[in-house]
Order: sequence, then C-alpha cells, then structure tokens
Amino acid sequence: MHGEAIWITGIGACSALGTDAEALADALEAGRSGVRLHAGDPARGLSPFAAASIETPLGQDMPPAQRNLYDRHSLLALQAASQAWHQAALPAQVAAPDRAAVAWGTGLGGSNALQQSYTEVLTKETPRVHPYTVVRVMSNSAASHLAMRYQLRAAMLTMSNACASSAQALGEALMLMRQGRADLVLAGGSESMLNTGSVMAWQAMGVMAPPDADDPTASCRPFDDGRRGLVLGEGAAALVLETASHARARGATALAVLAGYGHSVDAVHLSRPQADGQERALRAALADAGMSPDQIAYVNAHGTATEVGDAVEAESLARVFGPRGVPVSATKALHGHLIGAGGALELVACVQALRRGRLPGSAHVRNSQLREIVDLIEGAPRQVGPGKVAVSNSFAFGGSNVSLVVQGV
Amino acid sequence: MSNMLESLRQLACRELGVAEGDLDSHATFADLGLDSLMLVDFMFAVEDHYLIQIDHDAAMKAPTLAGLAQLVEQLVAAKPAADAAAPAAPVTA
Repeated sequence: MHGEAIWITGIGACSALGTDAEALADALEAGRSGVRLHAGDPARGLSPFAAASIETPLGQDMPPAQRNLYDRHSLLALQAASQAWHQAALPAQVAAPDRAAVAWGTGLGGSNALQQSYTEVLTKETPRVHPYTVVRVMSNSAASHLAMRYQLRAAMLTMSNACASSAQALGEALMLMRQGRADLVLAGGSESMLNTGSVMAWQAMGVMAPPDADDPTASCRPFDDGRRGLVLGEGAAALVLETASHARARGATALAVLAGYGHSVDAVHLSRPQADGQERALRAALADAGMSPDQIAYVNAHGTATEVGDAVEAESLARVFGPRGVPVSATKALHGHLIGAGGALELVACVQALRRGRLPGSAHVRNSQLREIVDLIEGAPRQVGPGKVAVSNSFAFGGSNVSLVVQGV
Repeated sequence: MSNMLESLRQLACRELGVAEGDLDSHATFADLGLDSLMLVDFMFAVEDHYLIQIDHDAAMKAPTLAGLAQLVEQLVAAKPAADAAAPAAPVTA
C-alpha cells in the first residue's frame, strides 16, 4: 500500500461532445456522436474524412496579441484546465506554488502552428515566419501556459508518448505526489491535429476509418466486426489531483480517487499492439492499486476500432479479467481518438460514469465476434453502485501501454 | 493627431486589448509592455492591416506609435498604384 490517497477534486473536458465534463458524460450516456464528415482538400490529395472536431471558437476572451501566443492545442488546454480548477474551487493562483505541479500530455504538440509556418515558408515568395512559432509548437507549450496561469512551480512533466501521453502524465503525476514532491498537480492532456498535413499523414498510414456512407457520425465502430479504423478527434481534458490531506485542509471533497498506474513497453513494433505488453500494464495498475481483477466494475477500453488493435485488447482483457469478466466500452466511437489527450478524456469519462452510477455503452456495434470474450456494454448505460472501481486503457504507437485505476467515492 | 496615428491607435487598442485612454502615442513600445516577440507580432498585424512590409530596424529608430505612424504613412504612400488602390483591412472587434 502507498501513503495517503490521491484525490481527484476537479475535472474538465473539451471535445466534440461539448465544452465541459457534464456535456461529455451526457453525450456518452445518450450515445450521441461528435463525429462528422469533413470535406477534406481533394486538390491537395486530402480525401474527405470523418473527424470529431470542435466548432466552438476558442480564446475569444483574449485580445489577438495574447491569443497569438497559443497553438490551438494550448487554447484547448486552457479551456479544460479552467473548468477543472473552478470545480476544485481553488483560488486563481495556488497558495503554495512550490508544492504544486503540472503534468501534461500531447502527441504532436503544436502541429497547427507548425503547419502554418511550413506553409508560409514553402508557398510564399517572401515568407514571414511568426516569432511565436517555436513557443507555440514545442511539446511543453500547453504545460508552460498552465504553469504560468496557475503558478505551478514544483514540477512540469510533459509526456509525449503518442496515444498514451496524457494517461502517462496522470500516472506520473500520481508517482510525483506519492514521492512527496507535490501536494497538488494539474494533470491531463490536449491535442489538435485536424490540419491538412497531419490528417494526410494518418490517411497515408491506412488506419483511418473511411466515412460511413450511410451515417458518417457512425464511422468509428470499436469492437464491431465491420470496424475499419480510427476517427481522429481533438480536445483536452484536465484533472486536479490533490493529496487527501491537502484537499481536506482546504475543505475540498473528492470526486474520485486515482488509485493505480501501470505502464509497460512492448519494444517489438512501432504500430502493432501486443497483448503481452497490455497485460503487463493492466496487472501493474491493479497491483499498484492493491486490487484484484474481480474488484473492477468497468474498463474504458483503448478501443480505437482498428481490426488488430481491438482484437489484441480483447485478448489482453480476457487474460487479466477472464472471458467476459468485466464490463467494457470504447467511447472513442463518439468523441473520436484524441491521441495524446485521449487518456485524460477517457479518465474523465470514467470519473463521470462512477459519479453518475451509469457506465456508457460502446456505440455503433452491430455484430461482434469479440463479444465471446468481451462483455461489451451496448445500448443504454449499465448501472453501477457507489464506490466502484474503473480502469482506463491507453495503448500507444511506439509500444507504450498505460492503464489507470480510478475509484468512485 | 494625424489620421494615420488615429488609425494605428485603433488597431493597437484592438490587438493589445487596451483602452484608448491607456495608450500613450509617445511612449516607447517597451514602456507599453511589448517585449521583442510581442512587438514583432504587433508589426505583423500592422503589415496585414495596411498591406505593407515594415523593415524592423527602420521601425526601431522611432519605437513609438507616433514614430511608427510616420513610417507607415510613408510606406503606404510609396505603395504601387495597384496596391494603393486596395483599402486597408477594416478594424473589427
């Protein structure tokens, strides 16, 4: 067992399903998809694609000179962090900055700013590169802005491990707090890569689901026999983590407890998942939380809807929990794959499911041979009692696997 | 106050998010709170608004809004006829 518990006292989310964590949970429960058809840019070779984009303007409360400092993924970070901070009822800036840290994940960082700069350089006769390009693009850009905004001076952890980035940021934040190096951590992740260059790169990889001809909003079908790949999303999610004593001292209450973190590396292939590595991450997370598989009431699967990925995850889940041993859903069907921000968003989805007592379904499943080994939640949310425990999986290109354990209160 | 300085002040208020009364046309950009990167960002906004190219070193010889207004006025006047016919981008909120 570890020292004192690490409480989650605030959550925030911004995705195609809405600009706060309640909207996220509402949409997941209703099975409402944030995915839509994008026209692409056929003249440049970008085919029409399905994606879960955010249409709400960002940074409208800032003058242009201030807004220009941020890449879109950093603006999303501010949005999610602001909600989490507000829910935690923290002061505008922390009382003890040297005991407060930020842990943030992103896969590509400022890819929009990078594309903007390259476009300028490669297409203009007299290129004019913006002086903020470097500070918008760098992977620690969002974390830096968050540190400055809330005066988080104890540590800045920037995790960039593809699809596991923000899940790992949360896990490493947990380690940091257990080591006694911080009493409070603002943790999460943000991603925005729905620009031409990035989407074309994903299309070239052949892992993106083609838009469903009948219903583009249902293009992503995790665990369905007809799954054809992932759908990109954009957004951010943030969680305020506090040691229980720190939270109690200021009268804060827990939304949930971040109880365990498991991390493993396949070291086999850049993009092909491995059940062995996933199993190790899952078992490590359960061991870290001091829990057995039968104590887990729900798994939010990585579930990207690639043919191989879902099958391998079904296998690793069956190994750890037994065939159909735990209720599972993959919420990426509705909010898309947020890559570096996915783990944090899905942990927020888990926290919301435990708070509300309703586990969201896995949308767009018609037929699934994987039902034989996976207890898929389908249709209406499944009820769950108070104090139950959920696991969130995030498995990344590069072979990095993260599982997080969160307990309801 | 010249029309150009008035126009530039409006642009600065919008870009920097400051009130008209807080903007001293004769204060240096540093005194207005613009660091080197913020200043280049502001110059980009001025270039886009008046459809001109500003030489940074020339702008720094008189690093105030009043000084910049004189330079911008010269650059606008020196634009080729076809370019000069194009109106400056409107200042919008």
